[in-house]
Amino acid sequence: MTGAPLILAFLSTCLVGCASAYQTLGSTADTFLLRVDRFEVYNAARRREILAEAKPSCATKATAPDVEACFAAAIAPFEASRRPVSACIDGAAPLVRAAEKAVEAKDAKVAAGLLPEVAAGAAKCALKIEAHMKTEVK
Amino acid sequence: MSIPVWVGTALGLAVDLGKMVAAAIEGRMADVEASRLVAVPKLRALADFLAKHEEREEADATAAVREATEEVMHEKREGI
Repeated sequence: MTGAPLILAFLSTCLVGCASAYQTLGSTADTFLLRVDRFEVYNAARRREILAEAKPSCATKATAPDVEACFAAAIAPFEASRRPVSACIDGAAPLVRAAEKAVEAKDAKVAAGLLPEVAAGAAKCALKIEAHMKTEVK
Repeated sequence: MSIPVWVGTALGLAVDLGKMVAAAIEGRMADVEASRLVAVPKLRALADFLAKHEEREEADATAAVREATEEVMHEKREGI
């Protein structure tokens, strides 16, 4: 009779753990997607701000290619500053894809194993996003 | 020879316990499956979104420069 409660406890722990891992992966995905979306919206707005600031000087250029080159040069420092953040995001993509495949294949063990990596990757990129939005070259 | 009453009671309790355990496990498995079905599309959406991140950034940078250039050239043509 002592074996049955132990088996039950083991099964319950495993099943609860599996559900929890799926839930955490889902909520991590939601949060990370929102953060990256916010980063992209911010970048789009900053590009236009920088280009508007550069307009008076770029408008003095004679030809369209020169004007375009002037604008491209104006946003180059901003693009360089956001690239490490984008690299972090690109680096997280394969991990998220692996987690998706594991969850889809009902491979709870692999999914649970990937959870800390996905969460850590998302947290690292979130910190980089926040830092970029506070300190990027203006 | 009749079966003692306590044996019947014990068997009945064992069957009830087995049913309770089965129901509990079934309930947990349903919870796991529900969580899994919610997580899959979320992870897929994120993986697809992240995979195209740099592409979107570069496209937006190109579009922003092109728009700004077109605006300047338009103003030049119009003598603004």
